[in-house]
Amino acid sequence: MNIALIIPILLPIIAGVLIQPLKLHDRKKRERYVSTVVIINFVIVVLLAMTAGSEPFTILRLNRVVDITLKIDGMSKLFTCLASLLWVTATFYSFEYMKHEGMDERFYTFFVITIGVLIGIGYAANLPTLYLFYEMMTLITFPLVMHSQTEQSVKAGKKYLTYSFIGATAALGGFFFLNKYCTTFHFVPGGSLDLSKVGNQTTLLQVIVLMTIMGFGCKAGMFPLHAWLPSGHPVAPAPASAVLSGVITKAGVLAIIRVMYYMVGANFIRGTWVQYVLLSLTLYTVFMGSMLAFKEKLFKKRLAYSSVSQVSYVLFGLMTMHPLGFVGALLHMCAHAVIKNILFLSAGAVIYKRHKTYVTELKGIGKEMPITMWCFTIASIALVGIPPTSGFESKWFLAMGALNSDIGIFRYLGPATLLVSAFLTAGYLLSIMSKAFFPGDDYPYDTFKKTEVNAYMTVPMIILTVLAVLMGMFATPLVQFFTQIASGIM
Amino acid sequence: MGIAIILLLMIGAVAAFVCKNDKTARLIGLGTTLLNAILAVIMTVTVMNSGPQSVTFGSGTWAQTINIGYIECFMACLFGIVGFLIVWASMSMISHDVEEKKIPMFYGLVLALLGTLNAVVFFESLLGVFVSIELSSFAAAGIVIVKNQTENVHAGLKYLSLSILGSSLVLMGMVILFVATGSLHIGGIAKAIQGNNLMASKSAYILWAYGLISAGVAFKAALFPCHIWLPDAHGTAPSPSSAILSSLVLKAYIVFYMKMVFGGVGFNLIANSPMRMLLNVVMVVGVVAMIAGSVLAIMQTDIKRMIAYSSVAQMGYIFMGIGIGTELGLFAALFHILSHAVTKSGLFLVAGSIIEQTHNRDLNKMGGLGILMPVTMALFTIGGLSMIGIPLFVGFNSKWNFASAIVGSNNYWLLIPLSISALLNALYYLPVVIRAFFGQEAKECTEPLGSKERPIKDLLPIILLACLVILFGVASGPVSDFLQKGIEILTAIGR
Repeated sequence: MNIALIIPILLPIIAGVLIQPLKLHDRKKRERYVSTVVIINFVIVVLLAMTAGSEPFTILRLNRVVDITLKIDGMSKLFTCLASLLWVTATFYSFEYMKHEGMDERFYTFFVITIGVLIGIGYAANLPTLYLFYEMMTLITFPLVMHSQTEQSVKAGKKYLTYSFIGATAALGGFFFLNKYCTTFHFVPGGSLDLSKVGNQTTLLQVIVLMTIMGFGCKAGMFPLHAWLPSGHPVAPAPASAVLSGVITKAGVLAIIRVMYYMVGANFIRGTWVQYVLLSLTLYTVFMGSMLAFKEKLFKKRLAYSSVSQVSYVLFGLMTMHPLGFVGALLHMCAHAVIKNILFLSAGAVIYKRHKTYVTELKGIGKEMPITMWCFTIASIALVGIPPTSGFESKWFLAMGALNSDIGIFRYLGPATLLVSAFLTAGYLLSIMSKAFFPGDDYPYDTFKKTEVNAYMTVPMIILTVLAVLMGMFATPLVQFFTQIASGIM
Repeated sequence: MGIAIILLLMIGAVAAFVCKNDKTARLIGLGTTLLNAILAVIMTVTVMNSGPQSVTFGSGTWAQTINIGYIECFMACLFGIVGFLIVWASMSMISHDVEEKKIPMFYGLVLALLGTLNAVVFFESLLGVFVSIELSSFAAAGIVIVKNQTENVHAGLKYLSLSILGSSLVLMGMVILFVATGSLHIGGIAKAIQGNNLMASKSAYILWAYGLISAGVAFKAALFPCHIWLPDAHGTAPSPSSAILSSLVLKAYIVFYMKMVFGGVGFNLIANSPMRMLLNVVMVVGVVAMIAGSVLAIMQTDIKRMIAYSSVAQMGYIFMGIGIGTELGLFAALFHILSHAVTKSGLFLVAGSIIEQTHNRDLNKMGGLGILMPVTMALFTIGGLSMIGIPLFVGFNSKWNFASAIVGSNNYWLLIPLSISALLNALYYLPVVIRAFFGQEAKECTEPLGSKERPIKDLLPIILLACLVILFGVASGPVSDFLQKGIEILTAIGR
């Protein structure tokens, strides 16, 4: 039965590779092909999440020690379902958007392969498997960043590669050590660290764990390896930026969860200097990201800085090492994934229709593209965390987690920073909204033309917006599910 | 069986030399290497079934022994299979670099080279090894010079002179070892050193001997800073020659060195004797080579010189593994011999294809090459990713082996250069790939996809090498077990 886990990984990879050889030059044919693949993949992922057992399945043995093994657990279900759902919406959106980018075949090749690789990250049952798909993700997504092949995007793509390799190398270095100190490098809820093997090398191991987490933190845009994100995400085509910011940053989060809670174990880190360093890093990233987003004038780059800040909310929740904080982190992971997709998709719609890339040019755009800007507004409200949207629910849990845990000054510093950052979020997102809908007296109210994008672009945005609100209003099943995961590992 | 392989290659070499026709010479080259590969595989199966084999000619001090154990079989298969694939690839490439009337000479030299390399590995007796090393130096310099351009002659002479310097250092080391142990036979030396506790009574002799041998091998195997001949020789030689030189020739000397160090002194003495100091030096120099080779590679603009400097870095890995001096370290070094051989030969052949089709060696002018030669550049990408150490490619297993050796021997700091070196590899392989597929030039390239591609039948051997890169990347278990047995036999006293 569990051999089926390989299907949602291989199906998109093979389908993606076949796009060029099948010569799908005809737009309609290609769209039908791509949408069939992502929808079937979504269905398979959901079916597997509902039915698959938890026995591991080994695909390959790379050498005498390292094997590539897949397994499904709570975190896998969450991550794979989220990723493949967002892929479906981004795909439909891209059918319209890619008309003005060109080189569609290459774009879809990598875009479709990426979802297979992401599912691989979700199902990874041990660190080598995770590392394999993690590296593959870097190599498969950098063509998306470089898609426009301008000097700027190639530079951003190289930056992305460099940072990702530095991060992955740091993580791999940690993995070599964990292999020595853990009883197994398979993920075990609660960790498999063997303290008798550690002996008097605790400090060394602490440094290693910090290094590993910071390495994986690169993909999640955590300071100090965040700098690639604001240059990499905005230059990609909008559907790609949406999934890069919404989903791929979460792969970094998932990797950190796997290391912290499934290999080392929270007990080893809780209360040590490592936890305080990580808490400081995440809070600094939250604040810095918001500030930079606040003063950034380029629309998509502002959203990218916002991602830097918001993903570190998630990481902060993880670093509290408290079940409530953990639940909050997972909630915010889902909320941010959906919301950031909407934001990037609407920014893309504005760029597609009106070629406006600076926030200062967006005066009155709400009159001209009402559906797009309404989605944008609701998503912004959700990200700020105004009830009853999903952002409120998650931030509530994050703050509760911080207040209830035993982390010294961070008990108060954490929630305070989150609050300040929420104000900044309101500042940098709602200011766009107000200018868009209330352009002021000098706006030609009589002569403006409606330039709304078509259904390919609006429907995905509307679906996600509804989801962003519903996730906040009916969060109980999610909270229960996440609490169950949290109780298994802490 | 071992003798049969050497004789076959030598007869093939003579046949190629005497034939006047370049077509016949190609056939002789291809046929002989194919037969060699088959013989090597048969020999391996025999050894696996009935254990190591040994043949001795003559008696006393000057007796010559050929000893075929697991490691020898491993190397014979490597020489056989990779050598065959390179010679196969050379069928369509060689006329680009070498004049028609020199082609018989080229194949003669290649076959002679393969024969002597096998001999270097097979011989148990130092005299036989030394003679083979000297002969192989001449053949190796020959396949550089055969291109017959001024730069080749210069590079070949530089190679030859430094090579001879290296072998004389090795010879001096052998003489001192003979004086100290009274044996010219690795087994005998092992008995003397490990059995009679010579390490305590004559440690100065042994250290001097091994120091000289290390220095000599450093020249032969291009360990930084004795690598100065390598970029010239590998960079200017015809591409099939470069592939043979970097993937096979360097390795034979390293295997000889491994046999001397680990077969002669053994793990126990290495860990607790002045030998440890010597190996520490080897290890540190290896680390410096890893970093320096990559830094130098980044600075190159000529594709073949870049790949050649990358070899310098990869040799550093191998010497680091030897320097760690544990079983895991030796295993990592041996595995890296395989890893580097299959990857680097493919990369050199790809570079040759690019130069042949575009008449351009400058890396900065390779923009858009991914459109012109997609298959070739895909093969380059596979090689590059393997060098960086991405999982599913053989390079990752190498990196893993080195890392486990490092963690196992408590030399934790070595992980830092290992990681940095992997990053540096990415810094010079990936920009080529990016420029080829994604740069501005690729966008502006108007020529149809694959318009400069070589026919697929000419690319087939390179594709097979890439398949080997992936095969040993996804399933290295069997070959690892094989090497493990080889290490056990190598280090058993009085084998």
